Amino acid sequence: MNYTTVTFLLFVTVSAVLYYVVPKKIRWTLLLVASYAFYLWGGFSSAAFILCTTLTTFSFALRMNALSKECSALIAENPDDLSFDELRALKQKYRFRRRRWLIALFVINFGILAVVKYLPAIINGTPLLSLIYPEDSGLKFELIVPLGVSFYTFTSMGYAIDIFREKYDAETNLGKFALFVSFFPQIIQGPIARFDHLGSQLFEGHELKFDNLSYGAELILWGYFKKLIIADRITVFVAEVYGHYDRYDGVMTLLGVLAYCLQIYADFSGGIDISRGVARLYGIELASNFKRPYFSNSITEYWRRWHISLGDWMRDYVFYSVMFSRPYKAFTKFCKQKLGKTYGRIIPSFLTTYPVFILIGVWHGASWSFVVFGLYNATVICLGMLLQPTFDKITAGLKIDKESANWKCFEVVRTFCLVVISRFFSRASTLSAAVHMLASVFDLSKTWDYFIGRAAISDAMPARSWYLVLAGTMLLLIVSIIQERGTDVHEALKKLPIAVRWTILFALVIFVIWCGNYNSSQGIVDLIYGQF
Amino acid sequence: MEEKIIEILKGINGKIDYANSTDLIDGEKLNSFDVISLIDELSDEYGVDITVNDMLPENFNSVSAIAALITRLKTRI
Repeated sequence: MNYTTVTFLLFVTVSAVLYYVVPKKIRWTLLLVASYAFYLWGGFSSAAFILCTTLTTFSFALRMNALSKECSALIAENPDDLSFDELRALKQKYRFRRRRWLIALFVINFGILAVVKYLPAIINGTPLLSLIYPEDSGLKFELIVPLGVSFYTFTSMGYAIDIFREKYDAETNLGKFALFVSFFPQIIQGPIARFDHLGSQLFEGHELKFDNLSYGAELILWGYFKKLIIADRITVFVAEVYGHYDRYDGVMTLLGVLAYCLQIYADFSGGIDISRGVARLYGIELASNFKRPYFSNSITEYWRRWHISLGDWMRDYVFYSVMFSRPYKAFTKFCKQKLGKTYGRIIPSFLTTYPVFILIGVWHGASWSFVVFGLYNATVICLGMLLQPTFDKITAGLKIDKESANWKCFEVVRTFCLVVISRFFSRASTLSAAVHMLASVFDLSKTWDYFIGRAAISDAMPARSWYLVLAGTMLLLIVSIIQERGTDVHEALKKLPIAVRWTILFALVIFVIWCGNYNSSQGIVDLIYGQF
Repeated sequence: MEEKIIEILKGINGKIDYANSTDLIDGEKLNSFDVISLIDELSDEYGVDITVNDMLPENFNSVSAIAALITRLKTRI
């Protein structure tokens, strides 16, 4: 069920009405039914996968939790009989037993993800394909990719690791756990949920509050604005430039990549706004996944502001896992002894940065261009750390005031340029296409041909769409600057006279209905992150 | 202990007023790499074993919170 359909709006409206009609105690079951109805709407075939992940994670987490309790009970029974070393040995023994369950769950859940998401790419890219189909058949090996498989797998595994680490107790109600995994506003493209943040919110029957409804509706409207006015219009131009990359070069290619930067932000953050808005209608607050990433002053900061829930997941479950491992600690000590304090601190962090960003890259898809996307981001971050002392000396020598607005502006533009380079790799169909596009940017011989007659640009996308995208982008930029200065737009709207507030919202509704892209040549445009 | 912690923190990032900061993590003044370095230095200095379960913003938001964490860890099995 696509977000930009009337069916979806009807589905949300009916489920929200029913949510507040049924008794508070069973409101979570209404959300569970709605979530599974939403999931099954796309077909029954992929439901087995989410059920498998739900059942294995639920039961294995219960087992890990039982082991933790058994260990605590043993310690409580013999508080004075056990020596320090015996206590430590007992804890390690139970930790080892819990780890076996976690590893088994890891193999099952990430195994499913690997098979459905990566196996077809591996088979189609190797001679293995000829073992399945005749060489000249032109057929490709394909599997059903369950809706939201990356998101619910990461959500489930985050929960399992938390139980392994004894962060909180396992959920004992299968229905409630199934709701946590399948909650429909977050199933397509996240945010990747945390049980300690979302669980209690889902299971509590929320009171009907006008502020939740109005804030939810505002978020949904703002999400549709980003998606329908900006992302779904510019998609035609982006598809043209990336799809026929060998026809374009110079500024036209650069414009296509810039357009993709705009499209992916408007599409993903717009979709997240819709998800958060829908959840808010039930009184549930989903994690914010974006914090105006294009205003970042470094790539490190950019990744703290872009797809925040994935970054947090990687930090808590991959970055920290590597960091607290014995080999990492030993390597850190070795580096400090051999390289001195500064570089001895920086070099080991490369060991955590590269695995995290390669994982982020391949999380997006099974292609070499995503691997390079991850490697590129890790390299920029590592080089930034490595060269920081040199940069500091240069800026000090040039007497640059790092707190000045000009310097901060320079940092934002520099970071954005680095992000733009990464987008060659995250959208191009192949790695060679990305490299070709990147190299062709420097060929400016056709610049005047593109712009004097504007033929290429208007051929790729109608003039009306260009004007609407420009107007929409300006509005998005203005609102983003207001938010960046610390203003909560929802609160600011609430303080306005009611007539002014409703006029603004009504104007935005009209703008979205009148100018949204509903008749794309590509039909309904799916959420970009829905395919990940 | 707090003076020593401030000295360690200044060695990691000297641009922050640690004595008066109570949002080192929540205010994004220290990033993950700074925290890694901090943990490493604290482990060396105080012989404590900081684990992944201790990686909570409230344990690192201020110098006094870090000192309290170290005190707790010294008595933990």
